[in-house]
Amino acid sequence: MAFLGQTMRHLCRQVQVSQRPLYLAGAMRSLSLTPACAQQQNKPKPIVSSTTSALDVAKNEQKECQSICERINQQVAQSEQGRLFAVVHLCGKQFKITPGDIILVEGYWPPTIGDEIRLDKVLLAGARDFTLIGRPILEAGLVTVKATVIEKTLTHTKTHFKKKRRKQYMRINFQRSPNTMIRINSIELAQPVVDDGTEQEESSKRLF
Amino acid sequence: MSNSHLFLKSGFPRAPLQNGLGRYVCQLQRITLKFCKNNGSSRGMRDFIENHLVDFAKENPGIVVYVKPRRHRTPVLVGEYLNGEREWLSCRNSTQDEISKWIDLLKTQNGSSSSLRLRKMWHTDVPSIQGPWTPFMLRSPDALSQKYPSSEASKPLDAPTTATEKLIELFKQQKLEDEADISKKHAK
Amino acid sequence: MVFLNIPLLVRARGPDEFWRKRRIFKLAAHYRSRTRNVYSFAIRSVHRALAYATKGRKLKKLDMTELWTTRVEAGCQQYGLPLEAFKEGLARTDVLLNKKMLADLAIWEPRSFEALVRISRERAAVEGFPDIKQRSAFNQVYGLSNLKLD
Repeated sequence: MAFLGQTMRHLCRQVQVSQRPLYLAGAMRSLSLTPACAQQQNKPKPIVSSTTSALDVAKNEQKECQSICERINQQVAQSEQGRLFAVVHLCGKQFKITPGDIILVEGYWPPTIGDEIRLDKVLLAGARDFTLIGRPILEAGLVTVKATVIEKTLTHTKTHFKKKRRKQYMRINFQRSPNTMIRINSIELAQPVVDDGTEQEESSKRLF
Repeated sequence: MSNSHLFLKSGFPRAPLQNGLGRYVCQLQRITLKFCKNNGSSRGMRDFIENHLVDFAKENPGIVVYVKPRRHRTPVLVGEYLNGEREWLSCRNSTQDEISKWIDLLKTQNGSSSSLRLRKMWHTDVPSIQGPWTPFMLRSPDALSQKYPSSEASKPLDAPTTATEKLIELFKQQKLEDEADISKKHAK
Repeated sequence: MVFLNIPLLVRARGPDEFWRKRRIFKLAAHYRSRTRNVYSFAIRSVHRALAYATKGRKLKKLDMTELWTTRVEAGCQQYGLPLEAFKEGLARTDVLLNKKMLADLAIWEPRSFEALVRISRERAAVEGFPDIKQRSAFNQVYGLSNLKLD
């Protein structure tokens, strides 16, 4: 039986792998298919060789950038983007979260149970097909992450024990630090992703 | 045989009954205050009951408060939770403020927390949205159609060039340069 | 206890012997052989265990950082980018994700990680890092006007 299971698994894997090129070609990723060593060998010459072409390249990229933004917005408008995830900065730590998650904040933190909070420092937001990367955080209001505080408690008792041999030195302390449990309720793309071309408003970089 | 898990259980962060997904439900259901009416060790507890207990009960209508005088016993706080757990705290010789802090702790937690060591500080049901990394993610699909044993696939990826090969390359380069020089001279 | 003179007070060692020993034996209950049953052995091993536990809490954090570094390094090496260049490129682009997040992304969200690698490589090429002179072959970073190419 075990042998049968193994062969089945092999078959499955083969099917998976054979489907991959189609999917990747569809996603314009055919170049990244070559293994890493091959990539290093056949690097083409720099795309930007002179100043005139650099301008053209920049224009082209502007266009492509806009088209990508449009595609993202379309996806969001038709709510086809699926589940979103985000990387948020909270109390000096970064967490990768998706709706329904539980995260714990260690140490003293004022919000109490039942509070509904909005996590504003979103460093990165992503979905199946796109990623928005903040520099260092996304614009305020672009992505709204809502969360509820569900528990405030203390950790288990940690014993802080130090001893030096033959020196009559021994210290023992007990500590319990506060912990706060947060439930992530929702992550939403609130505003459409805009690309104005101006550097000030373009605090995020769009990638496909 | 190791019994270390018997002393302090370890676990992962979980919230009972999907708490907080729709709305938040306070998990503390009942709180019992036991104290002695004339013993000095429950003086803080008596003060608390006189000054703050009614306010506490008014603020938290969802929590049932029992006050039980017990002759010549140390004061005790017991909280009972929605998930059936109960937490017992001795408040011997503690002041009014300390007791109100402990009661606050009992109110805000989901069960007895002192008995669980957390191994992770996060929990997720959906770890990956784009699909986790696999060894085949960046591999070329040529590997499927390759026939083994193949001489190409069995070479090491990072074989360094030998000194001989380097010399040969240098020699070839020199030859090319020489030829170029000669052709230039001819052109002149 | 009643202390009739000073030497007795100095010699008195806190709680009763039974309770003092029981505290130690409770912690040593899962040890093997005589460390479990003989007090002089038990207290030695309990003290050592507690000291290890105290140190271990710090070591765990260091271990985790090391693990994340390894993971991020492996993640960017598969795109042919050394770790140092990757980190430098991200820092210069103002992407302030930490090691833990990068490692997480490399494992669970590989496409986002790929995007980060591309950004970093782009920045490296623009700023002219010693290792990376050329822009990547598989270059699909959009929004390059942010990088001030020209």
